[in-house]
Amino acid sequence: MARYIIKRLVYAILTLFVLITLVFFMMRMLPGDPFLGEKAISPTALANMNAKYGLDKPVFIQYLMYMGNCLTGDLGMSITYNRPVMEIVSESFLVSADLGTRALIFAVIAGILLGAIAAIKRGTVWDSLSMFIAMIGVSVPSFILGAVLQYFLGLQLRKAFGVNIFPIQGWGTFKHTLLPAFALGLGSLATVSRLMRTSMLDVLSSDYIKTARSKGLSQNQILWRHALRNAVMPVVTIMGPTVASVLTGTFVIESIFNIPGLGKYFVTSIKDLDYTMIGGTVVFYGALLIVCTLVVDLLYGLIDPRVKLED
Amino acid sequence: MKNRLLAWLLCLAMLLTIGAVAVAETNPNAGLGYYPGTAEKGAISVECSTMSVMNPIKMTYNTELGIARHTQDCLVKLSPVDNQIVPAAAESWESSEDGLTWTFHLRPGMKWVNSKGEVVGDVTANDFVFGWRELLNPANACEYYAFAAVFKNAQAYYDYASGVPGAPEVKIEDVGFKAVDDLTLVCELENVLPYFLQYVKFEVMSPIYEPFYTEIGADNYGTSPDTMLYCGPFYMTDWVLENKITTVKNPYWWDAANVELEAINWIKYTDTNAKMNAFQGGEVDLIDVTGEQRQMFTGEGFKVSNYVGGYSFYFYCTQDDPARDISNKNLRKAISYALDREQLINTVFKNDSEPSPTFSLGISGVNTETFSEAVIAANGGERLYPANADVEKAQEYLALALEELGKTADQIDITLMVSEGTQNELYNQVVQEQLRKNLGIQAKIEVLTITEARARRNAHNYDMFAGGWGPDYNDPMTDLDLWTTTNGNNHTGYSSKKYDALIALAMVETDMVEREQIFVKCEKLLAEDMPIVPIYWRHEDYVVSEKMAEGYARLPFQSYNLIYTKLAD
Repeated sequence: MARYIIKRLVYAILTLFVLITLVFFMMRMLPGDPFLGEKAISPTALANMNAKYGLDKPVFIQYLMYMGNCLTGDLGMSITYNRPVMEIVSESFLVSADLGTRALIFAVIAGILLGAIAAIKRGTVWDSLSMFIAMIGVSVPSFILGAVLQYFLGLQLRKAFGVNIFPIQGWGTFKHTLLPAFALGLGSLATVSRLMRTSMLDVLSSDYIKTARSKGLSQNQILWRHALRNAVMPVVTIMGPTVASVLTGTFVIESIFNIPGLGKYFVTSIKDLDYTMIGGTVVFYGALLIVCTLVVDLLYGLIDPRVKLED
Repeated sequence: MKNRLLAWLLCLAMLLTIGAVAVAETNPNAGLGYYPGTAEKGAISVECSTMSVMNPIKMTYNTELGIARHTQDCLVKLSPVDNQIVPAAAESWESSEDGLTWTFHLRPGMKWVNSKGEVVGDVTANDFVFGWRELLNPANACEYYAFAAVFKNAQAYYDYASGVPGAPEVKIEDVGFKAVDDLTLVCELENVLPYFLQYVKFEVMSPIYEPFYTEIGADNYGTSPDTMLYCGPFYMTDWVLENKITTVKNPYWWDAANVELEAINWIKYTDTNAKMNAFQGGEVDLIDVTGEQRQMFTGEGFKVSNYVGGYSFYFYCTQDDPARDISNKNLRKAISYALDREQLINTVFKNDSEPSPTFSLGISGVNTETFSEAVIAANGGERLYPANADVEKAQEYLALALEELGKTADQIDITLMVSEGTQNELYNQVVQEQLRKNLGIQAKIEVLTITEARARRNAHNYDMFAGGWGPDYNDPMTDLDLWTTTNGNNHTGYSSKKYDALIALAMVETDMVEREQIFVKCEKLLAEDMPIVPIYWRHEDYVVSEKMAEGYARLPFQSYNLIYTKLAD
């Protein structure tokens, strides 16, 4: 097990190295430069600005310096915000992770339940209802869902009945998390419940369930002790990337609900050509993704003892 | 008897008008009960766009400068009532006869407070000296250092300190500003600058308290509420990056007795619908609105306000590449006459934006209210650029152009370079259609990211590109020196000895009437040579909740002045 983890960590570092290198040179190939604003800057001032952020050195030297700094955990100073990238990323990640965790808990619990119910009550109205919810979750984009929730539950509920339980935008209290967490979670809920349904149907028709039935186990014991544990495996598989993407925030939900999360920096840093910020967000996301996949692989071993991690 | 009554009524009307002028804005929807506004007592929440940097010397964005206007005090500031210079940190000032030396007398008893509202020290003349030195410090790489470069030896010092090859040594002590005592600041200018006070009112010229700044360090100063100090009407207590800033009334500010607001929350929105919902739901008191939203509000009887920020929009046209058809002056003139500016505004913006009669906007005139009026008066009352298409004239110029180019209209090759964005693209499509309809020219459209478009613009690698300009100070120079040969913002390659000479003349002319006439000539020469095709003057629409009764202002050079906002009872 320890050997496996070490091996995976070495791979992880290699992956990150390639990722940083690719991103570093790709962003330098984007046309324009970070100081290209609407108004012109005098050549001397421009030279000073380039010098301040180390952009006056040859690109390869900058690359070496950036790599060196990354090794010490220093992602540099954001050109747009004039403060350490690490500080911005960690502050906004906490917000995104807070929202994301709520959305995930909702998505996973409700998704597994809905999927399981749909499979057990296959062909009944429960099945159709569960799959209808899943269909909405998959087919309605989050920006529409967010806007609809905001308009009806946030604004109209307040205007029509004076009920003020759902703030329209902003961040800071529990109330502020309700609508965005629902809007963010519904997509994942749909995926989880559909996967869960398929896999549960598979499991329920397998031989060992028949054996359990013939042993005379109760329906509940069969479902909770035998079926669910095996059926949940595919859900665990997709949890790695889902966790990474939900926790790091989404541009859309954060814009609609005005949440100070990490999501927007993935978009704005590229638009502003804030090199250090682009690098920082990508490295952070990459690292998180790698950690999540590793955790998922380790979880396999726990849930299904047949999986041998040393292979 | 009747006449006397009329005279009395007239007098009364005049008094009322004067009364109305004396306050900045009055809420047009006061008491109508549409949108009562936010619930927080004594505080308002307003929309604010960019808020990436709060260290005043590093600011570049309008909205950042707008927040600094509320948290710092420069020597002078602009009145929310009439946009004229009024005393701020300086109680009074005088200039020498030659206009080169200015002495400012600071208000005694001004205090620096921190993010907790505690007094940290006194504001002295040295704080201005220190702030301006930091602005000129190359290590800080301040984009707007040029505001401090007007002082004697300042540019020379900046060049020397930046290591410009061949720049002679200049010490910072030799730069033309010094604190004679705690409350007296003497400034020496490199050249006569009739609008010098417009420079010192600019928020990057804020004072900085040296002991605190040194303790925090230049790079950390102003990166959070507790890493900077405040001497203005409000101080910052909370700042969530790219999301929200909270400023609270500073009881130690010299005019605090006249400030009614307890706090201002500045909120950044990225989604226009969300912002609209927030306004209607009472989560924000002031937001900018789009043309569609304006129609919606107007439809329900709610009045939308608008203000002129001074932004003039136009098409840059490349001049210096003879291989491009657009380098032909008559073709550019044909385009200017072929464009229906009014239709363009009605289709794209659906608001009160005006077709540009001249290039320069928002600048005061010497004997007229605006400089633009002086230009029109000098042009026999005619605008320089038509509001509606003048197809006949357009065709005349087109015929000349085609002859010079040796082409037919369908052979004319023009590409409109566009930066991404629905509105930008629509704007250019309308222009494309008008050129097709009125000139028979089939222009192409090329959509690029904003950074790529700017890079191409700066390299003069385009035919036509829609751009805009907002003035930095209230003098025609802020707009008109753009088109000199060496100006970094002249992205057209326009180079006219005559134009350069006029600007050089305006630099030294001290008679304000004469000087204005020089600028009038510049405007007319621009219309003649047409390096740019001016299109419209932007009016920005906004709505205000009924919580804000009066006293707020949105004007050129001060997009937000909320200091003296009075709240509805």
